Amino acid sequence: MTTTTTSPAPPHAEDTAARATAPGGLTWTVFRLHRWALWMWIAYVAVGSGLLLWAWGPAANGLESVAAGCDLGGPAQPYCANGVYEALSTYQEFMRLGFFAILLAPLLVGAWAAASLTARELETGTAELAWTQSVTPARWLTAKLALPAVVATAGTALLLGLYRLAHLEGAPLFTEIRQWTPSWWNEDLFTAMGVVVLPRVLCAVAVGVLLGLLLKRTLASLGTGLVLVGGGIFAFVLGRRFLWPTEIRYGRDTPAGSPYTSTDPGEWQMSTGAVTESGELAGQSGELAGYGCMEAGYGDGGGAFDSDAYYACLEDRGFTDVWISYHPESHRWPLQLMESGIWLVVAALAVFVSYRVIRHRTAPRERAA
Amino acid sequence: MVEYRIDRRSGVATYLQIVQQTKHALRLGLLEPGDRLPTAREVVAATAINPNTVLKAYRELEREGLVEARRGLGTFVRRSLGPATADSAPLRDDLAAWTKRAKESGLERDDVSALFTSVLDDLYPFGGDHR
Amino acid sequence: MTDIAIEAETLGRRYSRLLPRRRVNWALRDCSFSLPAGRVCAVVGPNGAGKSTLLSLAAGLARPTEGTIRVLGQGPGDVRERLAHVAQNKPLHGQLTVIDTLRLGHALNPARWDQATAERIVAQGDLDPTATVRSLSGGQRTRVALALALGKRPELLLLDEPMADLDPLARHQLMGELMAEAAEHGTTVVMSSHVIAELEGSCDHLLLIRRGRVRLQGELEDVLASHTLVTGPADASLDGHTVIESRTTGRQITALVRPAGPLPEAHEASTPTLEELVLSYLREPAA
Repeated sequence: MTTTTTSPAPPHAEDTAARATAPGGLTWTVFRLHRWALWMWIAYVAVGSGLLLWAWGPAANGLESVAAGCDLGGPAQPYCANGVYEALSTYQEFMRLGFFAILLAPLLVGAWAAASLTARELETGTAELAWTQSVTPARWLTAKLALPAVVATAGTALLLGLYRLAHLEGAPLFTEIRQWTPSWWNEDLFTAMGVVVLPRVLCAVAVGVLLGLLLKRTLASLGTGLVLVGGGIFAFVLGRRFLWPTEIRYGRDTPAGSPYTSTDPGEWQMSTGAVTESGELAGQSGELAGYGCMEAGYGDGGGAFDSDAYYACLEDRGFTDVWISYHPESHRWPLQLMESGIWLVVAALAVFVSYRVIRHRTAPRERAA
Repeated sequence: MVEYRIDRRSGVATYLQIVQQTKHALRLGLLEPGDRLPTAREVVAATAINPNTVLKAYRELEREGLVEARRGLGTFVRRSLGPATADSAPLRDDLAAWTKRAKESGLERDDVSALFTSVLDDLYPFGGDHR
Repeated sequence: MTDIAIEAETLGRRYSRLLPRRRVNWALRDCSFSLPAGRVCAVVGPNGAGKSTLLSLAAGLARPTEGTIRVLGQGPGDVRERLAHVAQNKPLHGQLTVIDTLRLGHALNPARWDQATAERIVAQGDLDPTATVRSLSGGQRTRVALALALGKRPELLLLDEPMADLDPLARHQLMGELMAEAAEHGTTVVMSSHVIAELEGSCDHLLLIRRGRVRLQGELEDVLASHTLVTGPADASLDGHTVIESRTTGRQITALVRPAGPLPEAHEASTPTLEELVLSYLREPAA
């Protein structure tokens, strides 16, 4: 061989010029490939933000001015009551829609990540196109995980921030008008006034990417992603209460009124029962007995609760006291952090498995990097 | 400048086709001393043949002293070939006499042609120096 | 720098399916060969012979189940930036325009990208660079895929059935472009193809794969020269020579042999074309 076995010729002058303007590698690539998804996400966050901004500004202001014009403590004035009712409904409706925007974000992100980030690329072969460029499959995966995670988290965080503003603006008025404070454990307040949505979004990205890698089919992975993320959220709605040990209060410790009367409006009550003579907490049979004796406590329907009669009735049935388990408001953050932690552990596992899958599938780097 | 036409079905080795077409161009005066032969890149871009084939043909022409490679510049014609017919008149007479004998002995045109080709193949084997 | 582009030793790749029942499939097995750099190598064989698997292994897109493969002197995972691979289905992002596809090539290969080469190949194809890849015909897609591969300025170009979708003109043009690239930069080209006639003249190295194994390999000239196509009386013996394939028509036998010495006088011998050689090997009964 003569001249043809040389290594690639030195780059031309124009190459060097072009290199100066070289687009930003993988980052540009991921943003360019998922440009539509990015626009859709921006639109979604914009709509959600719009709703919450409206709740924070005009709706809360409207509520304030209507409330100020009425004597809320005095006798009902039909005209005034209507105005307050309408302003309150408007505010609540915007808050409700804003909450849905936050609640659904992980589902949308998960479904998209599962279908679009990896599954479609593997289905059409473009993943392999990327892996034979000058980037390693591991770096490709990193870009696929990190950029969507950052964008999705940023959007969700914005929605959460606006929800918090709008809630803090309207909640005192709501309490003043309705003489009632919304409970911290309600799904809307727990989700939108907490942090759990952020780990959910991260987990949705990670699980979506892993599903795509494993299933390699857009639709299969989209469906599975929706089911898994949706199922996960639903499981926490049902089972969140078990994430932190509850506190127990005994009926005889209740200063006044019915044995279950809460001394603290922030109490999230779980289950009730009665205490046996041997000091055990009886569940179902105790609960029956506890409620069965209510009649004795309230007597013939008039007046106050008669504690003595109530406990006498209980003792007849073989119990010494009643108990109630509950989460005080101080459990809000432990519960938030437990749920977040579980989502993050699942996300970390999914990320770890994704890297393993990629490494296992493609040729390794043997040379030290 | 010469343009090569490669016939993949001819059975003649590709590099020989380039050698023959170059010589033909030299004989016809299409290429003169000092002319540059197309680069291997130009030839293969137009013909889609293997670059090593072109290099092999050029080496063959160089070995015969017809061209020379100037490093970094290209391959240039060193000398031209005289017309092939110059001193072939006596040979033609011989062939004519032989063909006449063949005709007289009753051979058909095709027979004569096959005979001639067979002798030609024996004495000028195709791709004889493959290796 | 090494003079060997690809070196495989007892290379094997198995695809196992866990469901519905465990079935083991060797796509490639016991495959050993060595391809010198600067060659244009044809990988031929019937469908499912393992051609694509071999190219995937060389591109680092799959791990060998057994054996080793070295590419440009290193593991395939270490030379991603120095090789290009165009898969059989020419995967490209349908939503990108042609311009953006090239830009993607630039973004992912910042150190090597040659925009001029890539643009030239696209420009020859008479296609609108602002069109999305999705709207292109099969042949135009192939052109863009090749532009992306050549724009990377690879030292090793792995092409899986590159010409299948192309019309004769585009096929000739792109093959010329590939050869020009090889001539100018010494690129090693490995291409699998069904169109054997198209490979003749372009390739100087042959790798014939059948049923996952390398059946024949070497410099094309050597391979062709070591085989003889003989025609002669059917009763004459070809004992002592390796007969690849023979067909008897009446009293005449046509056979492709690897002669071990002088052939019988009664036979007419000729050098096979690449197509004759390949077809004979593919028709050869399974061992």
